[in-house]
Amino acid sequence: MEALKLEMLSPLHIGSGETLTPADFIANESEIIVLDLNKLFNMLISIGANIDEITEILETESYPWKKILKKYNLNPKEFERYSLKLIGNKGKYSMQVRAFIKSGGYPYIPGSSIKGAIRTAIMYKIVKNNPELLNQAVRKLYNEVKDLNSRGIGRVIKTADNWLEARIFGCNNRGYYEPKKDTLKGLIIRDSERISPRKLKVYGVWTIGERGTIPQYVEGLENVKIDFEFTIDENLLKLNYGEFNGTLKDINWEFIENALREFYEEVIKVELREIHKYGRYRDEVLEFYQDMQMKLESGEIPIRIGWGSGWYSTTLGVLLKTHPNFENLRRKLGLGRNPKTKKIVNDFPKTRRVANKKPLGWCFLKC
Amino acid sequence: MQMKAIKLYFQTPLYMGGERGAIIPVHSDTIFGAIINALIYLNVDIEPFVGAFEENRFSISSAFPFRGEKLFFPKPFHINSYINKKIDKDPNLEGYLKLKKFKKKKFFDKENFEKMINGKIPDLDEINYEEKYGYKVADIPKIVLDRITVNSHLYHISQVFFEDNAGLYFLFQGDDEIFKNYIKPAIRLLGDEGIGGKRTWGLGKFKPKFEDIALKTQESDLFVTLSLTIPKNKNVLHLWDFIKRGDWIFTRNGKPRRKPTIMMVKEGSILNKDPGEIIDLDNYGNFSGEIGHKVLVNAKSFLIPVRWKH
Repeated sequence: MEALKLEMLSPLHIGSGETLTPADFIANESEIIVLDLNKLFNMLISIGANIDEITEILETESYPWKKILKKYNLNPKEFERYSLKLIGNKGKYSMQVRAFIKSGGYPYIPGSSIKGAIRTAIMYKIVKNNPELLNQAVRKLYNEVKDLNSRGIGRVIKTADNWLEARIFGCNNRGYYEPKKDTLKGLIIRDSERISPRKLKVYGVWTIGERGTIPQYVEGLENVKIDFEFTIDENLLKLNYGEFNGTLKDINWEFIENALREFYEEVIKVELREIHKYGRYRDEVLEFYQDMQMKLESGEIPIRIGWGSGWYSTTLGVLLKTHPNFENLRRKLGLGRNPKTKKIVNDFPKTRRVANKKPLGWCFLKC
Repeated sequence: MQMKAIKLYFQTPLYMGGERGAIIPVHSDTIFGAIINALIYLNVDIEPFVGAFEENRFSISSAFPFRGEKLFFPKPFHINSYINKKIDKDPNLEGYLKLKKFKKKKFFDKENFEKMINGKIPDLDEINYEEKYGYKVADIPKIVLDRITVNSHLYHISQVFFEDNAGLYFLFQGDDEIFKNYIKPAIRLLGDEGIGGKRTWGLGKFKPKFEDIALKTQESDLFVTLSLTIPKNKNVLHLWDFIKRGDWIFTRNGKPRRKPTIMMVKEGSILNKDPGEIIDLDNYGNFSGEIGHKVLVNAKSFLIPVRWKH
């Protein structure tokens, strides 16, 4: 096992699927105090509070606990489970906060997030060197969806990369992707060490490019360095060499490093080309990416993980956009469809997410 | 009856696949497979070990939970009929409710287990029906994103989380030399490597502890098995339940392949003395040809004498 360090440059959010609502916390202008509701209810019962009235406040007020605690003269700090610094403004009427993935109350970065990003970068590197693979994938996908109705397309859209994945990483005799024949099973990345919950902050995330949106709130990490364990199982790779029937036959750290660098350099270039899409944060984001480009020249390894990293960073988008047939395919698949007007945008991807004036999820890896 | 208990104090959650409620106990075929794989990794010649197992010089049980000093055992299947009769004689609602709770209880501590195997009925009033076994099963959400459309696939995997002073233990009975030369080193390696699935995520790591334990038993021609088994003679079965075993074969050097589905007799089943057998998967197909080595499945029984009077 070797150690890998991850340095978070911009706000990073990996969701647990849970959300905190104003019924779980008290929000000040600069801080959110997540309450220990058991303790609080026990106290309210012991002082003989009117539960019916509390229930009514909980149902009607947008930030109910502030009113309840004030009424009974209770100090919120006494019922604090943990508190989070708020970056951005508090929601005017209400706010829901998406929780960060935690184990035993401590946030951590799942190894699968890092491995997923590495996998995308490797896919990019291989497809870039084999343009025919991309041609075939786009052609095949287009033929598959051209006569389908919207329900059929809905099914295809979840598995659009299956053919490409099977070609690159290995398939069974029926041509479907087969994890047992995947070269990347030799790359093992463990979940990160536990991170102190005190390092979590709540970020207001703006979606730029949509009209009149309100921010989404997430628990996120920024400027934190953490350790991972990773290993490349040489023995497994050697013994199973004959089994791997995808384009990717062998991996080593140098290859992964190059893949990450090549992929994210291209992503940054595309983001800079479309910098106008960052609207009012354009200047700050431009500075952020230019700063990143400089650091990349000095040998840093970039990686982008987590929620809100965008279409370019999680897909082969930078290559797909250059393909002559992609635009037709995209319209058929409905990528970039406005959920309200149902119209498909001309300039896809249209929106960008920004928190603390930075694009989300950028990190450096250090071996 | 003298035995050794191998306690596994888990440092990370355990992933065993399968259905949510059916993860614990960890079955004896899994444990045997893990031990054999660990021995191969340690470059140990496994022929004498397998030979000794075939000659019934030792046996290995499935892994059951423990919490603190308390070891939990599976319920022997004969005991429900015992209790049924007792209730029939004195039918009342309170007794009936207790019986229902008793029937639902999955594991019993050593004291009650000893009572049951020695033909006594545990006191239904003294049993703690709400007892915790020191673990919880939780579904962990995971997501895969499509690399063309970013559409997400959500899936869950069930992991077992253990309390600090709790874990799983399995029993070893037989030759001390085998225990010292094969079981101990294999278990120590497995502690660092992990047991069960998703070991590459770091799951299933544990610290082992080896203890001697004694079970009070009496002579009998009936036995309860604490491991999965396939008896050589099907007429030996008295009360039993089946379990389907399958999934993937773990191999370090060979080609991965699915196991055929095999029906086995569950822990807690009552049978006459029958050692069970080791199954060579070559009887089910050309496994050694396809994988590159032989695959053996442990279907040997771990027998504890049980008194069962009508």
